[in-house]
Amino acid sequence: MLVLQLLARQPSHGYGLILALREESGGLLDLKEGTLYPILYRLEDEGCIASAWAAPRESAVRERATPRKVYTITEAGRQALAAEQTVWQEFSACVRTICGGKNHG
Amino acid sequence: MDEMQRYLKEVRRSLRLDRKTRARVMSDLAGDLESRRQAGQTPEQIRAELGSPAQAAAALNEAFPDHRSDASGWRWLFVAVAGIWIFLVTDLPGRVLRLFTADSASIGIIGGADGPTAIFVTSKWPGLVSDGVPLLSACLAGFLLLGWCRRGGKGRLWLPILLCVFSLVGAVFFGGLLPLAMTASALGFDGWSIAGMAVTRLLHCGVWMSLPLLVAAILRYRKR
Repeated sequence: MLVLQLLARQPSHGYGLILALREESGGLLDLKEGTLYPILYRLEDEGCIASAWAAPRESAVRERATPRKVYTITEAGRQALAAEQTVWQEFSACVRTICGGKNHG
Repeated sequence: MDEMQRYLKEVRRSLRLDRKTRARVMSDLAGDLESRRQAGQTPEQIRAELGSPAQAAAALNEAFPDHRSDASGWRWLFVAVAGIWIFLVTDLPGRVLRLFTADSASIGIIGGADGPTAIFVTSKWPGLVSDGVPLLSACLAGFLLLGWCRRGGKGRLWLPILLCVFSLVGAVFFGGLLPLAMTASALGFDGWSIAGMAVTRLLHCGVWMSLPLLVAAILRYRKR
């Protein structure tokens, strides 16, 4: 859900997602490539995201930089994200209710 | 080759994933290393975060349990042995080529004629089959044992076991061991001479390969 949320904001490559997750979670979510790639490939296989090779910048062409794969959310991905957000809100509301409730007895 | 390319090459070498997943991972990893470099990370910092190539590859191997491929690169050695045998020993490409050239007509005439040449030409094929089938069966068994059999259940090991048995039986009965023993005893050779000739024949038929492969396949079957 978090990966879909980040891609819904803007297309990104793998390392961009790792950085965004690390920064926005205050370092709590420090994913490695080995954790992120299976998520990306599952989402891509399910049609929730699509990948394309990014056109390198002129300076990158001069430096013979490696082309990068950029992931974009698809319409199916947006629908999946909306569904997952609903489930998450219900779940977190339930946890809040139970944990925030007064002790009985 | 710069340090990051060497790093990628080493990771690739240690990846034990199927071809499609490996290509996917390598293209993403190459792009992400480039992103890290453009973000100002030095090769040392990248290594510190990702670990050594072996560690990075191990993490990726663990991340894709359903896409593991533990096939050994050594399995291609069996393909090479089979290929070398076909090309050098049987001269199969030459034979096929001659079928489509003018020489094929003369082979037909020679083969149809009487005399030692006809015997030589026509008697080569049965030898090729009796030697080749056991050897090629053993090569196929070795190839499967180091690749296909490492995925899936232990039932897959039955195929190389059967191929090795087929190879051994073929070597004994069709590879000339039995006819050799019968001929040699009829001609009055002593036991050591017969044994020497038998060993030579067995080696020629690929028993040196099928026998250890059979043992390895059975041991692996029992271990699983």
